[in-house]
Amino acid sequence: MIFLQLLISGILIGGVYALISLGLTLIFGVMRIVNFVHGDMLMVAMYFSYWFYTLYSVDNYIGLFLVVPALGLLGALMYRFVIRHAIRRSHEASILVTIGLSIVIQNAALLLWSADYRSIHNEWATRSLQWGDLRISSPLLIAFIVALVVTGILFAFLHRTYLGKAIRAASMDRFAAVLMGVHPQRIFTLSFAIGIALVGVAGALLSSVFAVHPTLGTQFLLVSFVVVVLGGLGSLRGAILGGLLIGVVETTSAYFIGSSMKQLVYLLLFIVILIVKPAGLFGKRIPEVNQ
Amino acid sequence: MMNVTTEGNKRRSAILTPTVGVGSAALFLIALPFLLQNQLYYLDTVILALLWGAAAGAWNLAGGYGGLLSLGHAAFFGIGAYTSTLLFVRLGISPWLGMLVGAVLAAILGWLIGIITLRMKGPFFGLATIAIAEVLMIVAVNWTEVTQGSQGITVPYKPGFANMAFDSKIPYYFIALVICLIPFLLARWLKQSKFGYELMAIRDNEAAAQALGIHTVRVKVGILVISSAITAVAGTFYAQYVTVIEPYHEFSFNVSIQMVLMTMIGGLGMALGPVFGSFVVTGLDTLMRDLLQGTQGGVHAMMYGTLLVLVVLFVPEGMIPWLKERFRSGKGGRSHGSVVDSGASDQTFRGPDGGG
Amino acid sequence: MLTVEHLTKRFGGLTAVDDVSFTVEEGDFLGIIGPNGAGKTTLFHLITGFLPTDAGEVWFKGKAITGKKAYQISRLGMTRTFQITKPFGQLDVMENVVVAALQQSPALREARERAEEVLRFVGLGAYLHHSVTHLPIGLKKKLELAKALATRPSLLFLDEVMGGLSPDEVRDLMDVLRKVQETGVTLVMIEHVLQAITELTQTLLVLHHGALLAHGATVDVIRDPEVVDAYLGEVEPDAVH
Repeated sequence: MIFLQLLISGILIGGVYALISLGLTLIFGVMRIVNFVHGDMLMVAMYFSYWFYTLYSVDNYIGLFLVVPALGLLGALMYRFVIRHAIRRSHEASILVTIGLSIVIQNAALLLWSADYRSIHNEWATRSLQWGDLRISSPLLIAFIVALVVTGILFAFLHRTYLGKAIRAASMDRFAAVLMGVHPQRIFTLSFAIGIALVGVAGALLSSVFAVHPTLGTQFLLVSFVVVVLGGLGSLRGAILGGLLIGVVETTSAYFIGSSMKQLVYLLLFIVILIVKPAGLFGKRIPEVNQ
Repeated sequence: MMNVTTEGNKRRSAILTPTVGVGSAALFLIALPFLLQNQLYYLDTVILALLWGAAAGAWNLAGGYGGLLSLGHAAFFGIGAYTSTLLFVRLGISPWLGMLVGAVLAAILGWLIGIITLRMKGPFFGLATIAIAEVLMIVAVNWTEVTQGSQGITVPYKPGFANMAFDSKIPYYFIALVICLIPFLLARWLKQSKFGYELMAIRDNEAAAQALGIHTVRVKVGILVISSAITAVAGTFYAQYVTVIEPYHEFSFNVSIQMVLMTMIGGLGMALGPVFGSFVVTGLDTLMRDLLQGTQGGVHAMMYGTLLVLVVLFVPEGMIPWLKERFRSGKGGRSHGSVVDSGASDQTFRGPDGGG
Repeated sequence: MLTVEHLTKRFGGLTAVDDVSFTVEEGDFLGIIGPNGAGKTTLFHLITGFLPTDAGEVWFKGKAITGKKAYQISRLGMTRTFQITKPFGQLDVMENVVVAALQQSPALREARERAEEVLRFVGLGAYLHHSVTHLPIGLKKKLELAKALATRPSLLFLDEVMGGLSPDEVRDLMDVLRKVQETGVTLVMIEHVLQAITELTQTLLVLHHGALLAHGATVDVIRDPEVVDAYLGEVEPDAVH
């Protein structure tokens, strides 16, 4: 029974990890940059959600419709004004710039909102479904369902629309997008905005699950690194499966060895993947330098 | 402060100039701690700047000369700090020996990370270094019987050379100076050795380096091993000087990024770059501490982040080349002509390279 | 000197190099031509160890080198240039070649002398301390050649060294390549510039859709009607421009 409980809890949180990681892997696939601001944007989204709730009594599930466009816009602006200029220099430059931004955002949050943990106490927050011995936390269940729907919308967009196809083409071959007649800068801005908007969805959903604080992003960033490498860098399907898998691994290890060590388990898993199958579950073969 | 002449300039100038330059720099460095003897606050800043200059200099060997963007050098720094401290506190082994053991352990870890990730293209190396530093941090936090967990360890104060502990700051200064000189001199050596040329070639174009017969993975792993060991040495000195080590600091991402930031500020792939950057950052640090009195922690780190973004975007070559350029154009003359200046501009470009 | 047997490489559904066999004799100057996408560069990648082969064998000086890494093959005396030049951007012209020369003479002083000698040989003597990133394409191609020569190869693969050069530069580089051959280096050259092919190479190999279409003395092959049909006819206007 306990295994079923852990499996379900793991899959539920894993769905949210998948959502966060989808954004990260999309950005990597299209721009070849590792986005270190990703986790911090989740933190920002959770704060937005928190303030909408606290100041204007907007429930976080309704606030989602405000948070997501806001985050998408922030993503687009961040790309336009900062990251674009770094990409032109080198991959290293873009990594370092996102790290710099991450430090700035974290500490801006610290100055603005202090280090206090803040959480939303809406009617959903503490409710859970009981089913025999199984307990399922309602906000997590809602988060999972919404994550599923959003993922569906994302895939429909990427596979059914011309712009979406251009994004997919760009992630396979930058040249292909140009051939499709879409300006690369438009693709990049859009992909970055979508990636951050996905984090916005996750942030709005998680604000009634976890308390938010300025450095919350770091842990989620690490988790999504592991998810993305496990699934194969740049692979969307991989990110989903990886997210679910890491969710289960984390929940199970937290139960058996304690939550302070749960990170150790997935970080070690990460190192094992690098040794055994660096291309991940769904990735293409990693080119070795000796070819 | 030190002799800043580049190899090219040196070749052209009289043999006397660099000798005089090195001599006066050496004299200044020897005299400095005695000049600051009554301003311990500033001597402390100088020692810390040398210490971080050493760590950043070690990072620069791999990151600047080899193009290996490590984002987890705190792993090696922490190994250095924890190895010597634990050996000293638990077993009474001299920190000097502990420094050596820490360096060897860090070198082994660097080698392992290298052989696993440096044969692959992509961001795996950078991500793996972060993961390793995180793993070590979690171990140091949770293995409380040995490390005392997050409360950290205090190095007992027993002055004496064997314990690398002194009642005056001056010996610390000289140890820091020597440790700082190691990566500095190694960097100079890279500029005139086969290994260094191979390393820089790999950084600039790995496939082309292989075509010339260079075993690129071995060279990259080699520099990572050297860099890791020196970073650990800096870590041991840090522990001895500051006398308190905590997992959340020593193994932190901030420490890793600090090394990158300092190098970027001074100049990537320049021997003096990380030292220069370390003095800028540590100096600013001291200044901010004076101004803010430690009330607003976030401001401090925000400055780091902003600096990193600004440097990468606007002075990517670092401040030393930038200042040199300013200095030179101020004097009105440019000593290096590009090909186009030298009358070869009739060699026209014919569209993009290669083309078929 | 070089024997290639049944070399094959597939990319997904596409067979880029299809069962190609040929030999190169010592002292030969072999040209390789073929339309774009015929698999010429892929063939170079396979022989020089930059891509793993799917099938086939390569022997160099009697030794099987299939599956060896690029750097190992280079050390045996088989070096290559790249179609898209790959200079070491942060090193100057001289240092670029010093890296190569160091592979043969580990002492820096000797390597510097050797590098300077090679640079003068290819006609870059006036540019020793110039930055490579601002070199015009003609000089970049020469630098690429100088780097390869500085490793003292016995067999040298040239991937479109004439591409993008002016007629004057082509003639100049052809003279250099003649001198290279006189020093006893065996050469294999992918080239679109027909003048270079006809005047320099003794034997010619034609690739078409990854497969060997013709192989023989250059004078005979360029008159082969099948070759003219498949390749020369369609590419000539472009090559002459």
